[in-house]
Amino acid sequence: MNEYKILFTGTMGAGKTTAIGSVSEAAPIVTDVANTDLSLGKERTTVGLDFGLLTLASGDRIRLFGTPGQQRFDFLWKILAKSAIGLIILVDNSRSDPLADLVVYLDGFAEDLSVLPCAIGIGRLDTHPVPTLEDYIDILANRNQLVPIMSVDVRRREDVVLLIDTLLAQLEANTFGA
Amino acid sequence: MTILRFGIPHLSDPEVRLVKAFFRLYSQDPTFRWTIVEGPPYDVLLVDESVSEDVVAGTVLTLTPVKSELPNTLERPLRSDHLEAWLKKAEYDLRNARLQPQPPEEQPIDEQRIDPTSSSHFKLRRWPPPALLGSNPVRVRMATLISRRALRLDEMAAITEQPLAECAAVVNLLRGAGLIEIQDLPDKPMTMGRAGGRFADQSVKQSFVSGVRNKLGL
Ligand SMILES: Nc1nc2c(ncn2[C@@H]2O[C@H](COP(=O)(O)OP(=O)(O)O)[C@@H](O)[C@H]2O)c(=O)[nH]1
Ligand SMILES: [Mg+2]
Repeated sequence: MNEYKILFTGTMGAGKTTAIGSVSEAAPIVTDVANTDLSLGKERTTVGLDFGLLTLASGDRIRLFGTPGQQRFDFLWKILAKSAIGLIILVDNSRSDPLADLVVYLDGFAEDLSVLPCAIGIGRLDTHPVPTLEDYIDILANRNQLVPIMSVDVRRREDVVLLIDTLLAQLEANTFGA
Repeated sequence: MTILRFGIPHLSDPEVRLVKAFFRLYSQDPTFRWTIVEGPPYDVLLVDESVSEDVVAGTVLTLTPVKSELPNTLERPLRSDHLEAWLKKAEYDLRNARLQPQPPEEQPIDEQRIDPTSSSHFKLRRWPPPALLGSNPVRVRMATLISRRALRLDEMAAITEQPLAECAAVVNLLRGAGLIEIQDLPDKPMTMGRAGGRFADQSVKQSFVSGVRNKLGL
């Protein structure tokens, strides 16, 4: 039996806990506490790692980790990423500068992204259509990074499943081809 | 029956007389279709090798001082049987060419569609706009595969368990949007790449991937 990790990251409120809850077989173990920073408009915030679990028929387990809600990139996450099979970056398009939010994570994980499968989910595009997905794709192209990116509502299981499937396809691409 | 037009305007008088004599001989054969004509267009133009390239003809047959390995050459002195054999072959080639449907006008490479039998490798340049992939998980998976690595259509088909035609359709769709780079890498059979860092070997990785898909209901 083996254990694998998938890491969910993104700003506070981007939907990490929700995404993990959408696919985890057990309710995610949440380490949220009351948020004392009223400017964040969120009652609870994650202080430790969230995690959910997927147990495969083989007995293998996948732990779904959500990084804690901090404003700054934490180098501890890079250590986690080193042993992960994939990274999912969630972005909340209702924030003031969500493109800059994404860049924080792209910069933080830059060294890992050349080998670590990664997928980006942009949430709340329906209510906050700007910036558009094309703006995000431009940012990636300008950085010479090619990462699958899609509009998601992580409250919907199929959206989270598609993000995970995209990580799997990257593992498969590394198996085959020239 | 169409006649085939043979031109000798650049030859010297003695050679013109020689070729005309050969033709009188050849024309004893009722299936012989070549005729010496006084002006263009020429199906074939017989010239000395000193004649510059700017002659206009379907094929230029060149007379050389010594035997040449180049196609469409005959050595001097010109021999009746050599010329006859060459004309028979040229007639055969011309007839085949005329029976073939005319090839479509040469299109700029970007307009040409990728055929399912293509052996090129395809690599995604940039993530496609959402309208191209829609919420079609198979298309997203194909785009993801070639975002990571240049793959042939048969490799894409094997990994995604989709028909070649579907892989070609997705590649054509992406290519139409200018998102595909074609890499003509050496043609080698599908090989297993290096094992991903977290997995003991490729088969462990493959069974892991299918295990996760089963679990997620994919
Ligand atoms: N409209 C919308 N709401 C979302 C989405 N993702 C998360 N939410 C909501 O945003 C709130 C914060 O989500 P949470 O998962 O706790 O974010 P986290 O801080 O990243 O763990 C919850 O009330 C979610 O229901 C989304 O994609 N669209
Ligand atoms: Mg959370």
